[in-house]
Amino acid sequence: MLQAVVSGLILGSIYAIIAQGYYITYVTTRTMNFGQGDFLMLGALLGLTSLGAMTSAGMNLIVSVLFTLMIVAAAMGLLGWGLERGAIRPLNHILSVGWILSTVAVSLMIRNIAMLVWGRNVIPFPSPFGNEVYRFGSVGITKHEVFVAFCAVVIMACLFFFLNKSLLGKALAAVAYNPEAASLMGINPKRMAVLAFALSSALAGIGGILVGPITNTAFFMGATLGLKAFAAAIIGGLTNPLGILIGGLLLGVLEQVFSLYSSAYKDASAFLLILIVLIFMPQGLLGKKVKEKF
Amino acid sequence: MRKAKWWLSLALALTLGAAGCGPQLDQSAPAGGSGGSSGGQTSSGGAGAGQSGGGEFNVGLAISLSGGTAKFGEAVKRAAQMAVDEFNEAGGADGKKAKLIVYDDEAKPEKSVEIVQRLIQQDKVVAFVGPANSGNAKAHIKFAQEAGVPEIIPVATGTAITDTYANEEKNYIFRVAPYDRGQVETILKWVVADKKFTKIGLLHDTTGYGQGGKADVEAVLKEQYNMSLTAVESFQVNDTNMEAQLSKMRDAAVEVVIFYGLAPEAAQYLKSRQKLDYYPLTVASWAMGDPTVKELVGDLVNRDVYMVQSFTIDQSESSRAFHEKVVAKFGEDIFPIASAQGYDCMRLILEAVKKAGTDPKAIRDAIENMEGFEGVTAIGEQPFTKENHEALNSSNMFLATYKDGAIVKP
Repeated sequence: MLQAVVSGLILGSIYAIIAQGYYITYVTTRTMNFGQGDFLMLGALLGLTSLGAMTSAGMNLIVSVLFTLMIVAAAMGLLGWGLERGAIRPLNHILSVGWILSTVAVSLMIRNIAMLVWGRNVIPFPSPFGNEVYRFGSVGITKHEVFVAFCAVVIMACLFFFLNKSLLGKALAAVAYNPEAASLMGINPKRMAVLAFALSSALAGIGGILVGPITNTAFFMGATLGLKAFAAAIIGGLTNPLGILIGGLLLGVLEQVFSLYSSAYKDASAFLLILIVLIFMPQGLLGKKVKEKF
Repeated sequence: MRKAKWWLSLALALTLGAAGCGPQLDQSAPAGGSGGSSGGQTSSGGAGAGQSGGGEFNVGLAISLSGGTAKFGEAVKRAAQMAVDEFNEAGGADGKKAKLIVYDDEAKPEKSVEIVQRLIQQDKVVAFVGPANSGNAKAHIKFAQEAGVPEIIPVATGTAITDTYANEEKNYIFRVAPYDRGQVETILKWVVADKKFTKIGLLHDTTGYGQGGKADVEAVLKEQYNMSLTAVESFQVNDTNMEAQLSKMRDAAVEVVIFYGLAPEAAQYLKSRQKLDYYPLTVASWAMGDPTVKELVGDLVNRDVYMVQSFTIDQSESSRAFHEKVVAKFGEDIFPIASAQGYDCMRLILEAVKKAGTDPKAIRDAIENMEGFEGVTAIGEQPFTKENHEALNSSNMFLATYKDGAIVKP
């Protein structure tokens, strides 16, 4: 039981890391990248390739991990910029929900391109921390899993402070609240939208490097992860990073504990939770209740 | 806000849909590298033939060289090529040289049907080897049977395939691969009859493969040993851990876990064993012997993991010699058991041609009545009979284990 809770927390941290990407763009532009899971996959595979190239070139492990993180974040940020410019902004005025389909389309393209580049096999992604298992009583946990859980909290905290305390973050929030007023105040809403997507994609890339050693790394890894992460975001409330973290953890633990009783209905339990949450708390557990004026 | 909620529910529905539409293993979309070399035909024999006295005849290979089973296909292709080359160097059959024609079925049933028809009608092959996927076999065996061209299956393990035409006067479908039901019988013979375990747990995936395995395990246990499973747990493809399932096995005090799933999940299973520090004796189908498992988890394969095999490098002198020949020719043996089975399939066809000439119907009879065959797998000297078209069954499949990262006989 205890082991199930612990592994649920780890799984939940993974969901939460991915789901934070939904949050950034949602609060800024009221749009999301539904290909977040596939962006994560691309981040993991890019990270794997560049890490492999650097370590085989004889670089120090820690240096190459840092470099990999930067390269992946930069590349994914660029991709996020492209996504906003290419697939979201042009569709903004044609059909109000066009972005849903266009982000899904982009994600399918990325998935297929990744399959062509990296092949269809599952690729081993060795953790930079090794495979050692820590034991606390009957509970086993790897170093990498501790690191992932830690990162989930750090990423949540960074986002929280960035959006609520920093000037740039406040600008992002202002655009979300009222784009016209924000542009009167000298904020460029278009630039902010691009920034939000770049940030969210970079986060997905970093998330990919974090979760790669735990999940199997292959071109199809993003589909289920992205979907579960979206569920976590909905459960926790799309407008609150802390809520997303809690939603993710709740979902992960529920899944694992549920599979103690019946492993066949694990996924059903996750989506049952969504239904219950949406019926009783449509804004999510920690989402803000907003009265919208029409 | 109300509008936003509508979007969200629509979006959720769409994402669900999209997750389903994406390419999965064993489905659609060609992988890289298939185009030039393997998509077209590759031929051998013709070039080095020199004085080709009695002309040449075609043998076919229809298998996946791209797609989820590409590794199996590539290993079989190399081994089949080797068998053909050796046959030609030894002078062929009455001076007739063999020419190997290879087509890629991309792991798709419809493509498989297309290339099998092309092999039979256009290339006029005397017999062919293939495929790697059971679904592809089910889709195309009809054409081989109707045209009267013998087919030997080197990889696909679906139980019913060779039985499809068992009641016809002549059954053209043979197999040199551990078929599913036979694997389960082999596993249970070892677990129940040899090792006398009574508390048996089963861990299977929720795809057709694992469900079929579950049905087979339960049926064989019931019919042959009048026993039932102590614990049955399932997992899904892409699950990140199996700790909950394993904990339940531990609580139920099972003595042996039968694992029925494919390589990526087998890797997650082995990782979960390590995390729980619980290493139940594990017996698995041949998928556990996929080199991918070892690539993913490294040394974790070495501890109490057994799986069904028909070939290990150390099982005999000839299998070691075969393995070294593959390594010498291609630099590596990417999938030893698939190479060995592919080699035996092609050798069976070529031996039959030596005995019976190049008429497909005569070749079929020669394959069925083959005697004194020396294979590199555990295949018998008389692999087939009229009733039995499975060269490998529970009497000659065996359980192998990992030792220092290599699959060996225990």
